[in-house]
Order: sequence, then structure tokens, then C-alpha cells
Amino acid sequence: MPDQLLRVTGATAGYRGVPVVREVDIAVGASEIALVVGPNGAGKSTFVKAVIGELPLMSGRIEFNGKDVSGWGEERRAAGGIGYVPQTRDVFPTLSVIDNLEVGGFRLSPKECKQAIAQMFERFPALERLRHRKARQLSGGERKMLAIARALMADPKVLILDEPTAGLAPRIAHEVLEDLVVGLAKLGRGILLIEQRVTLASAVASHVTVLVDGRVSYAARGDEFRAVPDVSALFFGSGEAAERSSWSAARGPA
Amino acid sequence: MSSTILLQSIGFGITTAAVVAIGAMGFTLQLGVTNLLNLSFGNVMTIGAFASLIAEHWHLGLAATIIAAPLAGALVTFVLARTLFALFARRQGGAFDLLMVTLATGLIIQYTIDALAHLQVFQFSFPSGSTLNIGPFVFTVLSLSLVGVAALVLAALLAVLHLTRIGKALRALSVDPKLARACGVPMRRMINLTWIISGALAGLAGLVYVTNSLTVDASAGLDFLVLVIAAAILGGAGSPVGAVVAALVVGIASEVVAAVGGSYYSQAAGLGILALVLVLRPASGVWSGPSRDEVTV
Repeated sequence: MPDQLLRVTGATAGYRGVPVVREVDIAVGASEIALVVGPNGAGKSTFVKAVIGELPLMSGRIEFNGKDVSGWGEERRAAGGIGYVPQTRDVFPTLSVIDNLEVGGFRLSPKECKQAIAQMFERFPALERLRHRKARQLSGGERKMLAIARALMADPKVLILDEPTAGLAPRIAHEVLEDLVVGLAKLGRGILLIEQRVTLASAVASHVTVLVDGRVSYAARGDEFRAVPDVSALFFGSGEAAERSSWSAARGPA
Repeated sequence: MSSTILLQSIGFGITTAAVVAIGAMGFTLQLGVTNLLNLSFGNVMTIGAFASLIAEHWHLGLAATIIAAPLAGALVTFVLARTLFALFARRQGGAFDLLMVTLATGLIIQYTIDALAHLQVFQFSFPSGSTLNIGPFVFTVLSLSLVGVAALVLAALLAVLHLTRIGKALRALSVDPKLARACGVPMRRMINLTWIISGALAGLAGLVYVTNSLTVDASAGLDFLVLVIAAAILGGAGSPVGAVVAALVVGIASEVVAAVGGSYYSQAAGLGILALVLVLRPASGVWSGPSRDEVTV
């Protein structure tokens, strides 16, 4: 499917030969927000590490923009257009705002980098006012804004956001999801969003995947997920009772 | 101790600080970016000093004598990093394992030089120039030149780290290598560059050392390493300005202690400062900022 920017098929990954996530399928299209939720220890972080290339796949396949990138390293995936904003340690604290952006655009030519910084300041005017401030001196919301702007410097087609609202006040968390994340998707980027705040995040999601014990226990369109009366049952139900909607059946691997 | 001797030893301390500062800037850059406490750094200083000595012995001219030291330092450091250190890092060697590897490497270098040099102490002839009185201190043209070299190295390093994109990427890498990698910063290239720059600074420090002391033997750099590490840790890993300020403290302290108790105790001053830093400021220096377990060789 040409509109699928990122397609993960049967991904199994883990540490020292022991799989933590098994047979995970997820697809992210342009302008879509693919939400991954699950209880603590479900394997969300391991899954993200596998997608960005920090952790090799034990089996399965990752396609990006129609190419098999399963064997690509982290730097190559980043340079190729997979942006990543970690949950913590998402900026370089001892570098200024503008230096953080410059590192984010390291692969660009000096001219392109300058233009990209100007675009970021246009999109995030608050950052321009703080351009010479060290990242460690920013508030939680400003810091997350910088982290996203830093990731956008390379103009990624897909942006992976690992719990972007973690540690933020509810109002700021709402702003990050409603304004920032939705705004980025509207510009044509595919967003792979990992979140703990299920209700808040599912409100903006195009589709939702629930990971439990390293496996996909449920996958559905955003509207289908929002209609589920008791979401907690999806989190704490057994993996064997995996439920798949008409959407996931249609989008799953052939 | 009379005030004249105290002032003289402070003057000597400023010159010693120049040598320590150049070494400490290289050491702190290496430690900041790779997170590896490289104990063979002092032996690379010795190699730099001997490279210049050989260039001088072969009458290759002043430029070649000066260039030989940083060139040899950069080359040896790069080769060691890409072979021995990389080999052990690939075998999942932790920070302590790699520390031992660098210590062993340093000893191998030292005894190899000893074997080749037949345990001799070599003289280095460099005109020290006329004597200058600046305030209460007495300097020679040569010793002031060494201070000037240290200042130039600091200015160049600061310019690279703060004004160029490569320098900013190196600073980013020293803070968080994982995030830098996720930004598409080419790790291998940046780390190789760090080995080359820091190795060149080790070699240059060796040349400056021998220019100041006018003698060199196989253990020269290793003896000086204590002062270099003390300055790098007191100044904070990855901070060239901190390394220079700390080098001034360490350099002056070592010369004052040597004036009081004899030159034998100058190393003790460095060790004493190192111990004090570790005891009194455990959250400073290499332990400041976000913790980093990963050694990126």
C-alpha cells in the first residue's frame, strides 16, 4: 500500500536472545496517528527501540517508504526519514535551544539547516524567544516542544513519539497532543505515538494498538477503540483472547 | 619558605600549568566524548616528545620538529582506538575492563620505548630566550611561548566546539550518545575525529613538556598523567575551560609543593587534589550531568 509510510510486520525483538515483543504488526500512513498503548512492561519501549534501529529484530520486517529497512542501523534510519523523540533525555540539556536544533539538522547542508531553523521558529515562536537558553533551563512543555522541533529539523516522514506527555501537567499534555501532534499529522507526517494517557491519546488517534505481554492483544480504528466501553479490560485481558477488529484484519500483513 | 621562592614557584607553576592544560584539554575531550578513562594518554605524550626529539636529531627543521609530536600523537591514538580499544569494546567490555586495557597499553608503550632507548634520558636542546620580569614573576621567552600555545589551543578548541556544527555534534555526543545517534549524527566519524584531535593534543603536550623540562625518558608522560587527570577531573569532563582553570590550580600547587618538599612531591600534589575532588565534590567532574554508562569507542 503506497500510502503506508511505515509498516512493521511480525516484529519480534528482545534482549540477549529472549524476545520481549513478539509478532507485532503495525502500519502508519501519511497524516495518520498510530497509537500504541499498554500496561507497564508490555514491551512498548522495546518495540520502539526495534523500530528506530537501536535493537535488531529477531524476526519480522520493517518497511519504510516501501523499502525494507530491517537491516539498517539507527543513524541510517534517522537520516532516511524516521524521526524519534524519546520519553526522557529527549534534548541535549547543556546545549542551547538553537544548538539543539542544529544538531537535529546535522545531516542538512548549512543553508538548509538555517532555513529549517527559521521554519521551526516560525512554527514554535516560543522557541525563538528562548533560542540562547540552555535546554536544561526550559519548562517541561518548552522542553517537549524543543524535542519535537529538534526531531522535525531533519524533515522526517514518520515521527515516533515515546510518551510525549509523560511528566507534563494535564493542560500541557492536552496541548502537546491536540496542537503539536495533530498539527504534525495534518502536515502529512505519519506519527507513531506511544502513550500511557490512553483516553487523551486515543482521542486524536487514527488507529490504536494495545500491547499486552509483548503481543498485540487488540487493534482497531480510533473510532472503534473510543467506542469500547471498558478499555481497562483490553489491558488486563489475556493475550490469547486477542481481539482484532475489521480494521486490523484489513491492514494486517498479507 | 621565603616569599621570593614562593613567587618563583608560582611562576614555574604557571608554565607547568600550560603543559598540564594542553594535556588536560585533550584528555577531557576524549573522556567527555568516549567516556573512556584512557590511562595510556600519558604514554602518547611520551611518544609525541620522542617524535619531536627524533625530528630534531635528524635535523628536519623547526616546523617538522613541532609538527612531529601532534602528528605522532594523533596517529598512535587513532590506531590504538580503532584496534585494541575497539576490539575490547566489541567484546562487550565495560568501562573498568577498558580502563585496564588502556593501563596495559600504556605499560607496553613505556617498556617498548625503554627497550628501544636503552633506559636513557635524552636531552632536548631548545633556546629558552631572554629572561623577562613580569610583576613579581620571572619568565623566559620560551616559557611565555608555552603559555601562549596553551591559550591558542584553548581558543581553537572553544571555537571548534561552540562555533562549528561538528563541534556542536561532539558536545551533543558527549551529553547523550544515544540521542545524538537518533539525530543522525555519524558516531563513528565523530569519535574518530575525537581520537585524532585528543591524540594530537597529547602529542603536543608531550612536546611542550620536553620543551619545558629539556629532558625526556620513557616514563615522562606517565609521570605527568597524574597532573593531567587531576586537572581534567577537577575541571569537569568535556570542559576545556574547566580543564585550563584546573590546570592552573594543579600546576601551581605542584610547583609550590615541590619548592617546599622537593620535586619528588610534585606528583603528590596532583594526587592530593584528585583525592580531594573525589571526596569533597563527588557530584562534580566526570560525575556531573546525566549519568552515562556507555563507552563509545
